[in-house]
Amino acid sequence: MLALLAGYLYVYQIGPFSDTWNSLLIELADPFTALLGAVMVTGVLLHYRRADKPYPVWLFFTLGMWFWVLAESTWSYIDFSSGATPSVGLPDVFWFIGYGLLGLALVYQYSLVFRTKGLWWMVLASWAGIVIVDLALVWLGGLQFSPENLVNYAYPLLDFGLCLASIRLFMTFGAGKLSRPWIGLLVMGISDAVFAWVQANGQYQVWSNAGMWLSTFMDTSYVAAYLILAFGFLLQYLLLRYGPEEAR
Amino acid sequence: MISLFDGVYPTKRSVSANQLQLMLKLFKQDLMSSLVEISYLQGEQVLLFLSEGKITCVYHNTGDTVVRYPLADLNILLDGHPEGQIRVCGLTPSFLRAIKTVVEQPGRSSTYPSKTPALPSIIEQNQARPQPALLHFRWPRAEGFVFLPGNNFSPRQYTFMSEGQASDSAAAVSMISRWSESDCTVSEYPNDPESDIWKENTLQLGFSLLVEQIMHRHEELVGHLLSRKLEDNLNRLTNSQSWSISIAGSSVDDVQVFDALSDAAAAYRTILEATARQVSAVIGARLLAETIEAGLESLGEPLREALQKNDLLTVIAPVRGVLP
Repeated sequence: MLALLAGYLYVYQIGPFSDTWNSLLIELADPFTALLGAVMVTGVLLHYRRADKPYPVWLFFTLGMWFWVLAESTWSYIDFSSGATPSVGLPDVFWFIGYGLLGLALVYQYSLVFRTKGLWWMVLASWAGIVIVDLALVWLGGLQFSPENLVNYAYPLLDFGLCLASIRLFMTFGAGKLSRPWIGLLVMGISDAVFAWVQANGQYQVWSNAGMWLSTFMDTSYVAAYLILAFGFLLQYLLLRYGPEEAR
Repeated sequence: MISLFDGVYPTKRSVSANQLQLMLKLFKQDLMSSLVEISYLQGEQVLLFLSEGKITCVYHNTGDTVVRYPLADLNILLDGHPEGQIRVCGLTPSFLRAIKTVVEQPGRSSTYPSKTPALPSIIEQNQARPQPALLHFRWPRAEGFVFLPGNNFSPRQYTFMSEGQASDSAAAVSMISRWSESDCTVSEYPNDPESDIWKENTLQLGFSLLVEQIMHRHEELVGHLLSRKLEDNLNRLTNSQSWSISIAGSSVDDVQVFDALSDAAAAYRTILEATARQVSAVIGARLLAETIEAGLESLGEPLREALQKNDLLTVIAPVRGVLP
């Protein structure tokens, strides 16, 4: 995974191939790393039976990851083929479905861990909160209430929500091996939240145009976050495959 | 006189001391599980419990008192009588704990007549009591036992014997409630905290129920696959120690009769420590600690006290310590 990340940085910074190949490889990095995560989490899902209580957790996690793969793939395809992506388009639909499915995975995991009922009200309240804060951010920023602005500011909020939910699970599992996939989701959430925030307020574009290292850092951390998420799934897969004693 | 299974195994035969020694050797070779009753003149009686060929307990009944006899002195006891009447009741190891309780608690039971179809409701009424107990059902041609852990826990260790056929678990549950003879007697052997046998029974029940609750919670969080792996690891541990304790489907099947309470406690500590270590590694110490606390809370005073007195809680103290 470190080799993949180093390779990405090398192509990103040095650009050893032709322009077309360099930009193709850079474009493929996000869908590829998301695909790695999706494949790993599918491997995890296949170790559960439908009767297992954690089955819905991993089913929705898996579906959510595959929707993110679709989102990354369509976004990269549009960006590579046309050189520009629409501000709101098909990838956003896939991303939002992915967030919804990951939210379901979190709900099922919460109900298993905390044996809490009535979580659906909390989910509805969270979504309502995200919509309200999203509207407030656009209003406070003095921006138009356009789909583009609303979607752009929704991403960091959704990521923030994922982070909060993941932190709680991570802290509850503590040093237990079940915490690993949630650490991955937490890192993914933090990285994506920062990335989405600087994109939403236009800072990313400023850094990118000025050739600042911060834009490189943001792009690389996004790929790294997918890799960490995939690694968390890989560890969960190994735990299920070999058991806690052997999968140390 | 103690008479168990005399309607099922009525036949007695005369044996000399030498023949008796030979028979015991054959039982050992055949890995037989049984209750061997040897009756002598003047109402003297020797009871031997065999679990898979191994003599686990010896009792000497002089008519007034029943005394547990040291295994090392068995030959002296048997050779002291030139001839006796032997009755061999073939059982499964799951009967031994129940008949040990009956033998060690003579005269402390309350017995009343009942009808077979009423037995399920009698069991259900008794399971809500705070104290554990053993119920012994007797028909003219069959006998059955069930342990009630108390505090609304489901009855455990059902055993049933009829016409030389021993059954346990689900088969025994069905036989007890549907046996063809309609009249029976029910004897209740309540928990006696001062008696050695109930010190063993409460420890065994408390250990099994606590481990089962940990296993259930573990399976709830991790699914069947990791749960079966944990069970395999624990079963390997018990096999390596030659303990007749197995865990399957998050349930503990413990038919081991230990020589002493301290041996039982040591074995249970080992298993509980291994369970806690492996479960904690997966679900984390905090969730395990919460499960243990809830489990201990549900057990009720007698079982919780048995775990405490036998230092079982010390092995899980580091885990429990994570809770505020």
